[in-house]
Amino acid sequence: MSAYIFRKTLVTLPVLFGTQLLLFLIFFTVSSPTDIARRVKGPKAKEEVLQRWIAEKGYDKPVFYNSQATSLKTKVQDTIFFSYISKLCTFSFGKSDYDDQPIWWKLKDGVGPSLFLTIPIIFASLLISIFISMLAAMFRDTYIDRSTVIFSVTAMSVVYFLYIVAGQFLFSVQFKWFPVSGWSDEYKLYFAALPILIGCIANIGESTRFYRTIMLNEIHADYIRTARAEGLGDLTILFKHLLRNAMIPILTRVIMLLPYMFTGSLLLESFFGIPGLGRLTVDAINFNDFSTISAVVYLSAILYIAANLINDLSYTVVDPRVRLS
Amino acid sequence: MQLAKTLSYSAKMLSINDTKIFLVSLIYGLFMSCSNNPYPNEEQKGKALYTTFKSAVKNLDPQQSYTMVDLAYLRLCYEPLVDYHYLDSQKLVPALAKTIPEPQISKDKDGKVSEVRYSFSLRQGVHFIDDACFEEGKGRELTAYDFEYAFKRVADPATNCPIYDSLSFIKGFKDFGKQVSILRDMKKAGKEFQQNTEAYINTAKLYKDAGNLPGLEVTGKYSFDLILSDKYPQILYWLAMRFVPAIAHEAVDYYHPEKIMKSNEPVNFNLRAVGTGPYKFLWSEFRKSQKVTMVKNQQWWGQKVKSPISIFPAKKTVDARPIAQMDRIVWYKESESLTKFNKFMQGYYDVNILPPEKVNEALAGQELTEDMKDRGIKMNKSVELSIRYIGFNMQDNTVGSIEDKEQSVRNKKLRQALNLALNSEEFIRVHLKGMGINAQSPLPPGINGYDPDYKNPFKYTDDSSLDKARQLLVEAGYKDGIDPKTGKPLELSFTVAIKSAEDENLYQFFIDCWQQIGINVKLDKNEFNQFQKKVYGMNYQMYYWSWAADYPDPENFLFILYSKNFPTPNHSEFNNSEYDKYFKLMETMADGETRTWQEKDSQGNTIVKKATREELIRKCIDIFAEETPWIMVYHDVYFQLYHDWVKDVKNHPLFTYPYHYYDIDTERRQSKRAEWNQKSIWPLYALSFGFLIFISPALLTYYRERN
Repeated sequence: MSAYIFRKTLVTLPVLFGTQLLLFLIFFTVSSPTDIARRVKGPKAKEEVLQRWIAEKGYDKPVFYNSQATSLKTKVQDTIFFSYISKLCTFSFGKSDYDDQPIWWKLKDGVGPSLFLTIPIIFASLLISIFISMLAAMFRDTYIDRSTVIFSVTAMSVVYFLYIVAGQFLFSVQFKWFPVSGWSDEYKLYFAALPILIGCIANIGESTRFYRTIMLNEIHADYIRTARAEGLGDLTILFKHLLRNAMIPILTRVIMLLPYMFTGSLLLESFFGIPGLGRLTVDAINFNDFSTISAVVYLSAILYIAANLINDLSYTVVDPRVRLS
Repeated sequence: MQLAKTLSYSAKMLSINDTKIFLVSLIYGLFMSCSNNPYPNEEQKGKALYTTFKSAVKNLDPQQSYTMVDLAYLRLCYEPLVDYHYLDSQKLVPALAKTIPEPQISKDKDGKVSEVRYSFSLRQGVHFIDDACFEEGKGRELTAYDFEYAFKRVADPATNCPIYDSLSFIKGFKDFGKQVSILRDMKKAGKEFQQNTEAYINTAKLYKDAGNLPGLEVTGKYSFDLILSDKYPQILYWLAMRFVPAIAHEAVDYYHPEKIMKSNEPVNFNLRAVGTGPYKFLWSEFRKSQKVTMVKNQQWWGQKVKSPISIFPAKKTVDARPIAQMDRIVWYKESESLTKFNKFMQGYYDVNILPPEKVNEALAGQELTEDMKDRGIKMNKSVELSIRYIGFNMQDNTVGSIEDKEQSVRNKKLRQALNLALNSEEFIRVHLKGMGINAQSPLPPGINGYDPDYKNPFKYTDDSSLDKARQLLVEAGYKDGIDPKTGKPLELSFTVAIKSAEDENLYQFFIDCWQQIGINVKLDKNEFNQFQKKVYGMNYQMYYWSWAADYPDPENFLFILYSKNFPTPNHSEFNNSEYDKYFKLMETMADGETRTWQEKDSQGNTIVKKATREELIRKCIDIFAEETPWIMVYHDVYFQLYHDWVKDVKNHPLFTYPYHYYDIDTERRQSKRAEWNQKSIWPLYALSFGFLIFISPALLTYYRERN
């Protein structure tokens, strides 16, 4: 297993390098250091002010290859890409291009609200959808099962944005149960309740449909029939046998959602004024804040790779037949 | 299991025998504690104004910041020498200066202006706010030396002041900047820097070592002279902005850029505001991407001294009263206009700009609907000092002013025809829901030189404009819009930045207008950065742009097309010697002033000409209309909504967010909020009942089968 983990960890290096390369290619195709400077210094800033800022930030170098440099080493090293990559490797994210604040501070401030929002959304929607899907499996081919399918497909077809706008309108504007938006470190749950509720409702449709398929596949299996023949109760069959055997696809899905926990929900955070990492990313994109975008992309890539690795490892835990080599 | 135990234990503690009853009570209790009040922890005592920001504060260094977002805060915590009158955007009033100085003009023996001197006398007893940067944390008194430091810091190229060039009329301004740069480079090459790359150069000492700034003479503890090398009346407008306010060198050097943050409290001067103004930041609540709170500066001089800037300007209907009535001003970040509007309608925000998507709901024509009026909502309509225009590439062979004179004249007629075909009135009605004013010239209402009766001869008025446009096309060599070279409709490219699908609809309107005269305009859609790159690189035929004024003077609009201002802001590369001449003449004149100058006529004879500033402005506008380097579309209008508990809300095109002039009736706000935000319980009962109805047949069947 340790050899497997070591090999997987080695694979992360080209992946991280690749994501940064792709980011640089995309960003510097549509944007330039002058564009970043203009965004920071304002549209009316003079050219010399922009050039001074560009030089201070190190954006006055070529992006990938410095043809002016004398040696091959400096041709590669004296570039924006190299200086970024070397800093990212040591997790030295530096300061934001947009407002000069340390990026670690921004990430640290954002991760708490994001986790507070996404953990309940992921786990509550997981529990609810598993419960509904087991119910549908238990009452298969009845009106409960059919209603579940209709509900799931309908819920999947509605765009996330509409859930938010409709949720705000109903629960805050019409019923006045929750604040329309806002955030406070002392009253996290008070402000997070509505976005969590909307996040759950928006997620349940798709996940219920997914879990229902898994549950239906399992409910016809021989071991369920055997359990019934043994006279076991419905709840024991559902929770002890059915759920345990359906665990691998459930785990895969849940673990792949882990990076999302950290990176936050872009739309929810934006609409509900939650200062999480999702909003930080949206703001960074809007403000051409390349150093922040680069740091977020780098961390997201690491999280996705880590989630993949945990996913593989977790198979061995839930299914003793799986061996990693 | 643990949860069940806890619930059971809690139930016993509260003497409730059944855990299920306790659970239901708990859920009911939790629900009842729910509310839509977004300020559960706000102190209700005192007067607080609640408002919003969309973009986080970026830079609070008044000598660097050039954004409206930052200006909203800077206006409250830093004070300039002179400021705008709250009720009259054309008028300046003294702020930290006791009076507005008259320029004293000196001339040399040839009669040329040698220097213009403004003598400022400062208010006494003005103190900076208490801050750790001062001795014992106590804010010291403001003196003329602070303004000497402020002017020197603006002249320092390292400050990156955006109006550096505009202030270069100050005597020796740029030379002083060069001297500072040389000294700084020398210090950086010195031993201290070689050993410690993070060493910081103390600016107060640096500027002292660099010597005197010739354009600034300190004449006493509370007085100084500002000396310009030529007449430049706009200097007072620049001073009314926040680029040269009272700043303390202690703050700049204490909160230097090398300082590292250890908490959310800012430690760099670009976020750490230390001023003399009526409000100061509450650093414990400073979350620049979430919430910003400013509290009243109890030491503010204006609380003790009556002056035009500390007393609400009295008019017949408004009683004079001290300004800065609010104890706190609280900003919350709101990225989405709909969310913001909903909270405004619930009474949780006191003021709000009407979002375009809510215009139909809130307005009937140009007035508020009866529903809105019944809620006590009021509205101010304000015209921004701005212009939105479609610029032509004046170097382009098809639409530009080029070397081939005949072709150049034909191109001009094409530009005029395109201008005539564009129906701005209809555009404003359909796409802006009336939130705009049809622009006839670059000058918006509220600017000297704006003539409400002026009609641009090449603007659309009715269908006859289209006939006129078609005639011009014939003269331009494009009969019915057909390009004789290809035999097909003339194709032009229109470069724009697309941020949303709605943007595309706006631009399509223009294309449809031009289609009516047979011109086929292709939309060149770009992401904003790409768009900027194309415009700055002159890689376009037509482009869509806007300009917002820095101060209420026509010079701030007409200078855009001055040929020396290419590439920015003269993106069109308009180059007209007549226009340049009239612009240079009016540039440094005061309103109402008359100027005499000499010109040579066609025979080479010298003739003396004379014109008022207003006549020169009109000449610029006439040249502009004839040459049509731009199609002027509209001047921005916005509708500011506010609740009737907010008092003294006035429009001011340059005073964005003048919250320190407002007053609040908090009791009325409290009662209205309570009235508007009663919780509805029935949906909960309906939901529970619906769920029971849905699930009961299944449960009945299940129990029947199992039994």
